[in-house]
Amino acid sequence: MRTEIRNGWVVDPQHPGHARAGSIWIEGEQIIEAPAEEQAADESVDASGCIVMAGGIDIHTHIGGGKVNLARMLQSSQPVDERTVWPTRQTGRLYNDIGYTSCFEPAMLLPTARHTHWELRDTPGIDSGAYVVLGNEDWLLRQLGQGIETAQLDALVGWAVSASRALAIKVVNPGGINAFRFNQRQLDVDERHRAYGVTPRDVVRELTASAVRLGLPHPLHVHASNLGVPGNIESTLATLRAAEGCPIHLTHAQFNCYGTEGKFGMSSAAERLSRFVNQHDNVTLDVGQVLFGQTVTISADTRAQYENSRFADGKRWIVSDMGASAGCGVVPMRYEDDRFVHSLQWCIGLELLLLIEDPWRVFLTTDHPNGGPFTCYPHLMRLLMDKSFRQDQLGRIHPDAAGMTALQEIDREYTVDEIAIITRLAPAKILSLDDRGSLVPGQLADVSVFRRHSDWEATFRDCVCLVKNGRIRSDALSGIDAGRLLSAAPEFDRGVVEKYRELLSSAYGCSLGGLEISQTELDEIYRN
Amino acid sequence: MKLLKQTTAGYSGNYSLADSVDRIVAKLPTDKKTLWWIDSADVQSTRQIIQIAEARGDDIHIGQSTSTGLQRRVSESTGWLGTTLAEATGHSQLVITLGSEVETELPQLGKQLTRAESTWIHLGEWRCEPVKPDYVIPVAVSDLYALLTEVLLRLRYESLSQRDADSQLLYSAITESDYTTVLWSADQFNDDIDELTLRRLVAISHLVSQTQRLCLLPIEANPGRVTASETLSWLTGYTPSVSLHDGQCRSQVERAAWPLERFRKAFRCIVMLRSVAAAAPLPRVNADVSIVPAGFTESAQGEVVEVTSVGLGAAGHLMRGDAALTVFHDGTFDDVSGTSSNERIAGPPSAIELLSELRHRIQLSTGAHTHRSGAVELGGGRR
Repeated sequence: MRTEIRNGWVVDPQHPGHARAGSIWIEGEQIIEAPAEEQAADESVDASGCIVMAGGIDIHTHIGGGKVNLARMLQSSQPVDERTVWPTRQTGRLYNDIGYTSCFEPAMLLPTARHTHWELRDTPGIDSGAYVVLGNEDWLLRQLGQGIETAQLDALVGWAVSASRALAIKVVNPGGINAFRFNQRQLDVDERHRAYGVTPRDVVRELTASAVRLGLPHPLHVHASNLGVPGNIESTLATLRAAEGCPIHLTHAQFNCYGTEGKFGMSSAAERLSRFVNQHDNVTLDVGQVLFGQTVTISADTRAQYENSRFADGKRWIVSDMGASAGCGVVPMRYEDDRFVHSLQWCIGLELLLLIEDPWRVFLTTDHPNGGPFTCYPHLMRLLMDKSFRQDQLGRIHPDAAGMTALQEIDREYTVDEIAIITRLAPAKILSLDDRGSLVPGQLADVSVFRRHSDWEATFRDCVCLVKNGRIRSDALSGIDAGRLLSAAPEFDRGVVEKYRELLSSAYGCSLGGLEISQTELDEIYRN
Repeated sequence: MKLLKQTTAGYSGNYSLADSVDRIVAKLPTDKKTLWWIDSADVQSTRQIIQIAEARGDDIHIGQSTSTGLQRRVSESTGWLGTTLAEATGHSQLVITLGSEVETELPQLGKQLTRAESTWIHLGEWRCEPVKPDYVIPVAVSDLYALLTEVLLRLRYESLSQRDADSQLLYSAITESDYTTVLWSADQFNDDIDELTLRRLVAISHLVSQTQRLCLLPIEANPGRVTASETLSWLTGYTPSVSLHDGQCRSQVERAAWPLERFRKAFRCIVMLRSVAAAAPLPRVNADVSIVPAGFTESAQGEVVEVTSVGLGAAGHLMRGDAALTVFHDGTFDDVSGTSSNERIAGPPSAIELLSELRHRIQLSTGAHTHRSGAVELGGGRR
C-alpha cells in the first residue's frame, strides 16, 4: 500500500521539504522518497490547508500500571469523559486525537512490571515503553552503602532493565522513599540515610554513571529530592551536579524549581534553573507544566504524596509503600488560578520552556496527569507560541504570583518548528529512537496532519489525519490493537545477578523468575 | 492464599475445545443480553470476556464480597495509607495481625514473620502451631472495636490512664515502632458494624502516621477477583459491573448491592467464569453455563464446561492478594507461601484457550472486526 499525503505544509527542520507545501509518501510502515511521476498512490490524503508533522512523542506520561489503575478506581464513580485518567483504549485515542503516536510510562515498578505492560499493550494507537524505577530498594541502597563494585552495580541495573523490559531507569526521590520507610521524613541531597548511610547524591552519581556504562538509550531520568518543597531549587541543582558531567534528565522540573522569597515563602527559581541548563549541556529536562482545573496526582514518591494528601481535593486518596521498591500515591488535586501557589507553578513551567534556549534539551509535558491531562497540550502550545494570549492568561492568575514572575517580560514566542522539535525530534533523540520523530524518508510512518486555524490551540486540537505505522487511523477499528513495546536490552553479567538471587527473591517475596518477563511471555501479552 | 491441587478426578474428558465452545454458544441467546459473571479470573481470561461482551452487547459483573465494597466505602471517605507484604515481612518493626481468617489465608505468613526481625502481635485466637506470634491478645472480633477505640484514645490523649493490659501492650508497641503494619484478611470485615472497626483502624493509621509510619494491609483472599477487577478497570474505566450495550460502556455499580436472585431475573442467560481453582462454592445465581476448573465442579450450575486452572496447569497472569505482584504462572504456583505445585493435567483446555476460541467465533458471527478502507478525503471537518 502506497499512501501520499499531499499539499500539506511540512513542518520538520530535518526534512528537505521543510516549511513549504509538499507531499509525504508512505509505503508499508515507512516514509519513502517521492516515487517516479508515473507511480500513483493507492491512497491519497489531501492535506491542503494543513500542517504535516511527525507523530508526537511524550517522554513522560503516567498511562499504565498499578497506580494509574488505582487512580481510575478512585475516579470510577465519574463518567469516563469527565476524568483525567481514562481507560487505556480511550487514552490511546485521545493521544491520537492530538497527533501523538509514541508515549512513555515513567514509573514502572520492577515487581509490577507485567501490569504496566498489559496496560501499555491495551493502549491502542501508540507505541510505548516504560522506565523502571530504581534507587529506593533496600538491596540496592545497602550495596551502595557498603561500596559495591561498578561491574556488580551495572549487572544489577542491567538485570533490572532487562527483567522488566524497560527502556530506561528512573530514580524517584533518590533514597528518600526508602528513608520514609524508616520514618526518616526528610533526606536532602547530602544527608545520609539513617539505615544505609548513603546520600541521594551517591545514588544519583552511581546510577547516572551506570546508565552510561550500560549504554542505555536514555540518561537517568530523575524525579529529584524535595519535590514540591519551597526552596528545593538548591537540592535540584545539587542533584544535577551529582551527575558529575554524565547525561542526566530532570523530570517535571517545575515541581523542583522553587525559591523561598516573598510573603508566601515561595517563589520562582526558573531563571536559576534555566541558566544552569543553558550552561550545562549534559542536562535535559521535561517541564511538568501545571494547567488549571481538576486532575489527580499520581506518583511513586510516597513521602511527597503523603504530604500532598493534606491538600487533596476530596478524601479519595491512597498512599502506599509498594513491594520493596518505591511506592504509590494517588491524590486528587484541583489547580485554581486564584490561588498563589498554583498560579506560581503555572508561571514557572512556562518560564522554563521560554528561558531554556536549546529546544533540543527541553520537553513539553504536564507529567500527565499530575500537572494536568495531556489533552491540554494544544493549549500549552498556544501559550508558548502566542505572547498576547499568554499575557492575557497571565492577567487572570493570582496577582502576587504574576508580580513575582519574569513571564511578563519574556517576549519569546515558539515557532512551529520549535514545537516540532520539543514534541517530536528532541524526544526521539533523547530516547535514542532513530526511527521516528521526523518525516525524512526511511523513518517510521507516524504522521500527524493538523488543519490550520487562526489560533494554534485550535490547530493542534484538529488532527484531521493520523497515520501510525503507515496505516491511517480508522475510528472503525475494533478489538484492542496494540502498538509496539520499545525496550532496551543491555548486556550484563548474569553470574553477578545469580550471586544476589537470594537477596532479590527475599526482597520481593518471589522467585527471580517471577520478576523476569521472558520474551515468550511478552509475545503472549501482545498476541492476545 | 489457599493452594489447591487439580487432578483429573471428576473430569469428564468427553469434550474437545470445539465441542466446549459449541456447548456455550448453544446457550447464548441472540436476542437478549447475557451476563458474564466473573467469579475469579486471570488477566487473559478477563480480557477475552470483555471482548466477547463488547461484540455481543452484553453485561459483565465481577462477583464482590461485601468486604470489598466496605473497604472501598471507607477508603473513599477517609483516605488510605497502605503497604504490601514485602514491607510487612521485610521492614516492619511491628506487625499486628488480626482476626480469625489471616492464618488460613496466609499459612506461610507466620513463618515469615517469625524469621523477620519484628515484633508480632496477633489480635484474636491463634491456632496455627508451632508458629506463634510474640504476643496473642485473644480478643473476639466483636470486641476489636472497643480495644481499638481504647488504643486510639490513648494515642490521641496521652494522659489517659491505663485501662487494661491489652490496650497497654498495643499502645506501647505502636509508640515504640517506627514502622507498623496492621494486616488482616479482607473478608474479615463485611458489614456496617464491622465498618466501625475498620474506621478505627484507619483513624489509628492516620494519627500515628503524623509522627511514625503505620500502614494497613487487608489481604484479598481471592486473587482472581482482584485481577478481574483491575483488568476491567483499565479497559473500561469501571468496576465491578458494566453494561456494554450499543457500543457504549456504562457503569452498573449499583449491582454490587443486588441480591443474587435479582441477577437471575434481570438476565436471560448467565455465564459464570472461574478460571482459578478455589475451594469456596460458586455464588448461587442459577447460572446457565459454568466455566470452572476440572475437579472443582461441585457447586457449578447449568451447563458445566471444564477448564484447566490457571496456576495449576495453565498459564495466566494473576495479581497477588496485596495487588503488589503480577506473577506469570506456567504450570507452577509460586507465591509468598513459597509453596509450589507443578502438576499439569491433560485434557481440558485452559479458560484462555476456550474463551479465545469463543471470542473468535462470536466476532466472526457479529462482524466485529470490520474495517473501513479506501481513499480518504478531507473536504472539511474531521474524518
